[in-house]
Order: sequence, then C-alpha cells, then structure tokens
Amino acid sequence: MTIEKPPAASMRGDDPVLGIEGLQVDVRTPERGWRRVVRDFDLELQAGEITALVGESGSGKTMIGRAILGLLPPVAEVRGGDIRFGDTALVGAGEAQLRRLRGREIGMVFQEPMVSLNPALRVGAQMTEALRLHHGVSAGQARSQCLAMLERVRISDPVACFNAWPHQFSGGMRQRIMLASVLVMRPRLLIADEPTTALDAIVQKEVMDIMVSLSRDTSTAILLVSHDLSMVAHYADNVIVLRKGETIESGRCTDILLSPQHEYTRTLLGALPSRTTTAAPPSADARPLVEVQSLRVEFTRKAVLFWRKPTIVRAVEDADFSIREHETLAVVGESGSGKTTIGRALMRLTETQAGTIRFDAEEITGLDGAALKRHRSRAQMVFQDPYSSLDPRMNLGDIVAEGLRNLPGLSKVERKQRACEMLAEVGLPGDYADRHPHELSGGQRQRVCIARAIVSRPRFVVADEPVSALDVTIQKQVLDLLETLQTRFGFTCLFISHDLGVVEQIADRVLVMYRGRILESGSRDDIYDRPLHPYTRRLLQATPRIMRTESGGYRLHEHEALPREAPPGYRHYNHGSIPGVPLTPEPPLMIENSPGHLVACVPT
Amino acid sequence: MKPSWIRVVLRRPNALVGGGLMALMLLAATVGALRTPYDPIIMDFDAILQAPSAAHWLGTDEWGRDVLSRLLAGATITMWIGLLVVVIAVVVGTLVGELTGFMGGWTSRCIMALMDALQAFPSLVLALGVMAVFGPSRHGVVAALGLAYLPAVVRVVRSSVLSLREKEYVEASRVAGNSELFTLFRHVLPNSLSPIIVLATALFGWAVLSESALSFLGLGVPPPAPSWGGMLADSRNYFERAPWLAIAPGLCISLTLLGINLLGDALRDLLDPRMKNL
Amino acid sequence: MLKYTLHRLLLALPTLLLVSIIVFGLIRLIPGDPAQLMLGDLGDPATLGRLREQWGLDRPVTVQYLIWLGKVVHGDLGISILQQRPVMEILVSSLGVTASLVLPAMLLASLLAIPAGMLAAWRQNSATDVAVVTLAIACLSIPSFWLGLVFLLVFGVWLDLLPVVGYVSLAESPVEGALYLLLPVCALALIEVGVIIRMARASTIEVLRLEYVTHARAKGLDEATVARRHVLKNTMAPTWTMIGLTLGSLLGGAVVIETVFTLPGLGRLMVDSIFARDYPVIQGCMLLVTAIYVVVNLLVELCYPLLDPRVRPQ
Repeated sequence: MTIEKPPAASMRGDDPVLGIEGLQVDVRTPERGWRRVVRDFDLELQAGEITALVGESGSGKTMIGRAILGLLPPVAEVRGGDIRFGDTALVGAGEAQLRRLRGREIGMVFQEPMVSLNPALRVGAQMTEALRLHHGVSAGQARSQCLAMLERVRISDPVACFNAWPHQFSGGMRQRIMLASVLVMRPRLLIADEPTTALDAIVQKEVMDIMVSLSRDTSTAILLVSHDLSMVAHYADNVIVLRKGETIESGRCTDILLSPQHEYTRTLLGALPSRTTTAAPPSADARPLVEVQSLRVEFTRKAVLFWRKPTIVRAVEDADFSIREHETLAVVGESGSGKTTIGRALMRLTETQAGTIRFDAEEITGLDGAALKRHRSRAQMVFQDPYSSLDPRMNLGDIVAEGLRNLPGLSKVERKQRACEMLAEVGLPGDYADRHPHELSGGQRQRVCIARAIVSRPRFVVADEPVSALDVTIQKQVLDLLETLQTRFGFTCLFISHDLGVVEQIADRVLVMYRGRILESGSRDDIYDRPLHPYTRRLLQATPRIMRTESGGYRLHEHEALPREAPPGYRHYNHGSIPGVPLTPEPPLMIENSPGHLVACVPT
Repeated sequence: MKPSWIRVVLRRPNALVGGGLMALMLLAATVGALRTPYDPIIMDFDAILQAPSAAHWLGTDEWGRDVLSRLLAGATITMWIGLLVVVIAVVVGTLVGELTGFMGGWTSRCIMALMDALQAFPSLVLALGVMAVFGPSRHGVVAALGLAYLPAVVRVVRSSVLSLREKEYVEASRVAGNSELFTLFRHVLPNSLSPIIVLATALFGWAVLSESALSFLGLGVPPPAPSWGGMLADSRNYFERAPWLAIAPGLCISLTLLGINLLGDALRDLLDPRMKNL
Repeated sequence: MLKYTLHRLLLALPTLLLVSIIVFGLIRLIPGDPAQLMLGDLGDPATLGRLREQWGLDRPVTVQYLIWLGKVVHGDLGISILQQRPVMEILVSSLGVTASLVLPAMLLASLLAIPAGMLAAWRQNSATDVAVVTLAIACLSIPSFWLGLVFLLVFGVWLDLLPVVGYVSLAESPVEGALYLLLPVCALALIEVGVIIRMARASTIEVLRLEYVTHARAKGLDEATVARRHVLKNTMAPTWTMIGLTLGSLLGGAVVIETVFTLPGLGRLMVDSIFARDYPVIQGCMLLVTAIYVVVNLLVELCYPLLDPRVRPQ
C-alpha cells in the first residue's frame, strides 16, 4: 500500500521556514562536566511540511525542539551552529526578540497533557493570553477566535470548555485544548514534542489527525518529535533519524522508513514487533490451566464529603475466559479498560466481588495463609515499571533469590546458587548478582524482574505491560527473551498490553477489553484478520504498523478490514462511547461466531 | 562507590561546615562530661561578674562561676537531652508509623486521631503543659519533648510507608509469597530510613531549641545544673554590667542549630533524590 | 462550597474533643483534686467535702469530664486560684496582647520571606540564591529569645532607642504601644522567615520545573508575567499551608518572647500560672491556644481551594 499525502504547500528551493546548520548542544552533568547531546545537526523545513525527528531515548531529539525556541533546560546550552527562522537568526538572539517569535510565529505542543496546562487558570484565560499579547486583540475578539478554534479541534461544548479548569478534562481533551491554544495563533512553525505519547491509541489518532489537518489549512510547518516509527511513517513528509545526538539518516519518509539504507535504521525497523508465522497454533483441546467465570472486581472511591456514600467503580464486570496450558493469552485495551485488574485478580493482589477463578481446577478466590502461599509459588508476575519494581537496597542475587524463599527444603546457599543460574539464563551472568538495581538500564532491570518471576519455575506468569516502558530495540530483546524462556520452561502466560503490535508478536489468543467488559476474544489471527466488534476494528485502525514485506523492504500497513455484522439474531454490544454503534444498556452475551472466536452481543 | 561518596561530601560546603560544627559541639559535650577548667556549680564569691580574662576566658557569672566551664557542662546536658528526645521520638514514632501505615484498620485510625490531637497543640505549649505537671527536671524535659515531637515522626514515617506500599517491589514481595510483616521489615522499613534520618537531624535541632527555651523559662533543667537557656535567663539581670553573660550561651545554641541544620540539608541532598536540586 | 466547609468543620471536631480530653487528663495527673488545689493546705475537711460535692468531684471521672466539657463549651473555664477571677476574663485580656504580637510577626515574615524565596528559586544556584539560602539557615539557627535579648541589649541599652521593658496597650496609645511591640515582633518574625523562605523556594522550584511554565514562556510571555500569572498562585498553595503551620511555632515562640520583653500576653500568663500552680488558668491557656491554632489552620485549609481549583468540590 502506498501512502497518500497532499503535496507539500511550497516547492523545494523556496526560502525554508526553518533552517538549522551544524547545531551543537551540550549538557552539563555533575559527574563528567559538559557532554555533547546534539552534534552537527542540519535541518531545512518548508512551509506546510511535516518533518519528524525520530530516535530512542537519549537521541537528543527533544533538545533540538527546545533549542529552536531558546527554551533549553538550565543545564543545557547551544555550543555552535545556526538556527534561522525566516530571516531571523535564533542562536544568540536576545530574549525580547525570541519572545516576539514565541507563541506568535513558533508554537509548541508538549508531551504531558496533564502538566502542560496551568491548573490555577481557567482554560479560556490561558488560551487568550498569547492572542492578546501578540495580536493586541480585545478580550471579546480573543474569546470568539478561541471558541472557533475549540470547535475546530472538535470539542463539543466550546463555551463550557472555555470557562472550565484544566483538571476537569481527560488527557486527550487537554491535548486538543493545547493544540487549539497554539494553533489559534496561526504560527508558521509548530514544534510537537511527542504530542500523543501519553494518550491511548484511538485518542492518539484523533489528535494527530486534527493537528495535521489544521496545520495544512494554515500551511504551518510541523517539526514532529517522536519515538514512534509507525506514526511518523503515517504522518510525516520527511524524517531525520537520530542516535545519541548524531544524525544517522535523513530524507523523504517513504525512502528512509520503507527502504532504509543505514544499518541503525534497519535495526530500529527490524525491532518493530511483527507476527511470527512460525508459531504453532495452540491446540484447541489443550487442558485449561486457568478458568475464570463471571468475575467482577469493584473499587470503592471515597466521596469527598464523608457523609456521602462512596462511589463504586466496576473495574471488571462479568468476565469469562480460560487460559490453556502453555499458551499465551493477551489482554488488550486502553487505560481504564480493566486489563491490569484482571491480572491482579488472578494473582490475588486484588479482592474480587463475584465470580470464580479456578487454577488447575482449584478455586483460588477464597485462599489464604499457606494455601495462598502455595498459589503464589505456582503463579508469578512481571511488573510494568522497571524502575519501581526492584527494591533499590538489595542486590540482584538477593532480589531473585527472594522468589525462592517460600519454597520448602532449600538452603540459603542453594537459593543464591539458583538465583545466579537464573540471572545467567536471562543474560545477566557472573558478577551481576552482586550489583544493585540503580546500576542497570531499564531493559536489564526488566530481565531481573523476569528472572525473579520464573526462578521458582511457576506454571503461570502474569506479565503486566512488561515492555511498554522500553525503547523499541530493547523491547524486542525482552520480548524475544520471554518467548525463549517460555519455550524452555513451558509456563503459561497472561500478557497484558495496550500495544497491538507487541501483542500480535507474542499472543496465541487475544481478549479485547473496553471499560471493564470483554468485547471480543479469539485466536490472534481471528482478532487481527477477522475482527468482529466495531471497537476492535477502531483499535486496529488507530494503530498503523510498519510491516516487513517478502522482498525485504517495509510497507506501512493500515488496517482496512470491512465492518462486519454481528452473528445472526444479535447486534453488537456497546456500553460506552464507541462511535457508529447504538448504545445497548442490557448485559451482553458472548456469542461464538466461529470456533473459539467470541464477540459481545445482545439479542435483537 | 565509596570514593565518590567522599567526593560528594567534600563538594558540599554544607556537609563540611555542619559536620565540623557538630563535631565541635560533641567534643565540647565530651569535655564537659569529663573535666572542666573550673567546677561549673560551686560558687566563688571572690570572682563575681568578672569580664573575660586569661583566668576566665569567657568571664564569670553572678555567683563567680566560670562561664566557659558552665557552657561545657551545659553542652553535655543539652546534647544528652537532645539525643534522648530524638531516640525516643524516632524509635516509638517509627514503629507506630510503620505499623499504622502498613496495617490500616480501626486501631491505626484511632492512633492517628490521637496523633492528630497531639499535633494540634503548638509543641512548646504541650511541652509546657507536661512540665507543669511533672515540675522542672531533666527526665521531665525528655518526656515532654519526646511526646511533643512524636506525632511529627509518626506522620512522616506513615506517609512514606503509604507511598512505598504502592511500589511494585513491595507487591512483588507479596507475589513471592512473603508475609505482610516480613515485607514490612524487609522492603518497606529500610526504604523509609532516608526520610527518618533527615527528620531525626531536624528533630535534634528542635529539641535543643525547645530545651533551651524551657530552661530559659525556668521550666527545663533545674538550677544549679548549668543549661544554656538557664544561663541566658540569669544574664538578664546583669545586662548592662555583664553583657558577655548574654552573648556566649546564645552563640552556643545558635552554632549548634546552625551545625545541625547544615548537616540536615546535606543529608537530605544525599538521601532524598527528589529534593536534590533544592 | 458550603458543604465542603461543613465537611471540614465536622472533621475537626474529633480532634478538638481529643485535645480537650488530653488537657483535662493532663491536669488530673497532678496529685490532689481541683478542690484541694483551690483550697491549698488551709482547707478544713468540711469545706473540702462541700466543694467536692458542689463540683461533682465525688462522681466518676468520665462524668466529671462531661460536666467540665459542658462548662467549657459555654465559655466557663473555672475560677483562677490566684486571682479569684473567672479564667475566661483573664484569658481574653491577655489574648489581645498575644494577637498584636503574633499577627504582625506572621504578616512581616510572609511579606519578607515569600518574595525572597521566589527570587532565590528563579535564580537557582546564583549568588542571590546562595545569599538567600544562607540567610534562611541563619534565621533558623537563632533562637528567638536570644535574638530578643540581643535586640534589648543593642537597641535598648547600648543605643537607647527603644523602650526596654514594659508594655503600653495599643488601644491606649497606638504610637507608644507600637514602639513597645516593634522589637518583639521583629524577633519573633525573623525565626519564621527562615522556614517560609525555604518552603517558598522549594515549591517555586517545583513549579518552575513543570511543563506549563515552559508552555507559558513558549507563548512569548515575559518573565514577570510568567511569574505573576503562572508561578505565584501555584507556589502559594503549599506555602499558604505552611504559614498556617508556622502559627504553632509563633504561638510557642510568643511564650518565650513575652517573657523576654515582659509583655502581659497568653504565654507569659501560662508561665506565671505554672509557677503559681494556678491550674485552671494553665488548663484554659492550653485549651485556648490550641483551639486558636486548630481554627486558624482550619481557615487556612478552607481558603486553600481558592488557590488550587483542583481541590474544589464539584
């Protein structure tokens, strides 16, 4: 499939909006003095074009965006090179001169929508600020311009939004407000620093679509800073690949990302998760290890006023599923879908309110004391955040050995011995056992977490977003390790993730969750190739992926499965805001559409 | 790791000055306990209100007692009381804070309500109330200040435990099948030590200040035992004739507080990464 | 907002109740009951018995507490043993003095410290910053009573500029009264300056690190506008709470400062009553000072939503 993009608004050879030549940025570190984080960086950006800076963490991409505006953090400094915005040289420009450009000519959208709006000022006050400063319009004019812009970023009630406080909005809404307040100035250049990284896939697509279409209208050039290659391939015209501050490759997006020349770019693309065709499909008659029936998990949130009743939030409602021995079942969904709660319920880290969980035919919801201890020696967990899941005061050997503490008949020496063997197994041999977590990188920490989980040879492992905090190349290594270990030790795995790409690589079967309900379940191929529920389709459409072609190149795969009817006699279940599907308040039934492929429906 | 730790200390003037001052005060306290140039208590009517001289470096008071000797002996008492208050408040407060933070339930709610009530008193007022009951004595001072500062420790420990409880490595310990109590002592307590140590240094400063204030009011260390606060109180009557009596003890209190404050700041920089740039 | 206020008020009640139990219990720890204390060694057994019956001292302790609490709620704190006047009357006359000492000190400290703390944070690691931080540490390290003594020595004795000992009420003579209060207020304020500087600086640094400040700068706002519109209010929220809490150490400090400058305030009253073993007055002082502290912090907390819309109940 080819990518369709409107031609860039201006022809090459015109005066560029932004030109950067030989930019050098240094950062002062307390231990080693000045360290170069951006080296000899060149860039030319024409009006209406989208150029992306891609790279893993530490590539210096964020520093470049900030250097343009003269808003580097206090520890960083531009040490050489030129930044020209139109006719103005930005390096060495005075504060007053920069201030005239900031906001008016160059806008910036930040990564974290939760902290980029001032919590103490109403949305309207923050939006009109720049308009009134730079264009000197009256309060009334500013207000009407902002309201118009809020409408264009598809905020349903612009007046209410204008008068509201930032904390009353979700992350996606705040990012739209940010976009509106930046684009209302009609800047010539928009710097978007990971603008959608903190958002769920569907919201991410909406925000990106709005951003791109609005800036095409105003022929605003966009400098898109991102780590997400697929997203960049989908939206950008040009791309610059960075690594440790150095430019690896630059050029048209289609050239670079779909037929990479440089080895590093190839490694990056090669590390993107992909469906492994070799995986044998799980035999349908394998014995289920975990069986969950009508599971309900509720959380009580205390009311602000103590005499009010606490509100009850149903995190998981009426979940039915089973996990067969030796298979990997993935749970996908956006934040708040209840996927993590399911994993925690299986580990008995969360109390359940109704339903049964049977592990190896034994009911575990009521276990306590020694029985619970035994369950936890058979079932283990790998956590999401590699920075908070290891006790900073213990060495790796002790951390892993703790997983064996509650196995009977092991001496301290034997435990340590087995811990060291397991560390070697996950690729941390020798003296790693004596090191402490702070000496490790994120990927290495996650290896330790895996070692701790499987050192007791559990039959079942819950992996809760184990790779989502990692860079793409590290992510691949950890996923590969997990697969190798699963083959070797034969554990059953519940894999929780929001990332459809990762799930496609590792899962045998998939559960799709939305707001506490399972909407669809089936084999990986059922879900990815023949999705039934409209939500599953939306999720797949919102996740463009770069796929390897048979010829060794790459193509951008955008999901285009046709909408499919619910099984005869039923309609698709919808309890939330899934567009295009009528709301169905009655409880759903899981209807089997084809063997093993179930979808949430209600009878017509 | 070790050599860089030393370098870190050397690069921080806070740590150096603060540590130096505290070492000096501890030395003074040790000397005060072992031997002083003159007896700090026995009066000498031949040497009343003498200005600083070679024989009496810091002069003498209204009873002819050597001010330097009294300062040294006072250092012993002040440091000792400060230390005892810190130990009592920190040990009791840590245990209560850890348990109420980790266990929850009705008992811990009641304990926290009591701590809230104790903290509702301005600490010096609570200490004064306790002293009113017990009468001036060293043990009374220790008890009063220990009680007054207990809630602060409980609160800090508890909030640190509450945030640690959410950490994934605490969860991981549960998943490994460890009991709650084991998890508390193995993973939570060692990681809440940093804020406790920082608080303990601050507490020592408050204890020295409050003990001096109580003694100044005549409700702390009872005379004739020398205490810096008491010496300041006595100096008021000889203000015009013997200003050195008012200067020296105050300077001692200030230097001790300065030392402990600087040391506390340096420790906080080292132990609490969140506050590193403050 | 009204419901929120009610909510906070109701939550403060158990604390106040526990405070009253502690104060009641503490005084009861003293050997001898109130009747004995009132009559001293002179009382004959018959008067003692009559007094005990009259005050309900022959009933169980819980009943005694409830009777006492009932009186306290109606403003009856008993009779001073020493002055033979209602305790409430004595407290009210002293309260004015303490208030005219503590409130200006609080105001002065805030006005000096908050701008200084913000400035230091803005110029973090510069010479200004180091100077302000050093000043803060110095303020924290000087005991207020010693500073008061030094003030007396320098301004009162050596320079002979200001009155040394004594007190004229502000109501009688505003100018002269203010002169008497000048030194104690300064001595008291300077201690809190250190605490507030550190708090204001720390919370400003915290805010400056947040993305919305960069966002404000990226809009092209100048530093003064960024400070005024985007930093000040967000910095004030935690600092505001801190100011409420410093009232505790100010009230404690007032006890000592009033003794140094011989001001007839609540603190000095409490100390004098301890020496005179005038227990009803001690009890009253503790209750009143603590109640003021609790109520002021409650007010501080009720104002907090004005600074931080996030905690406003919807």
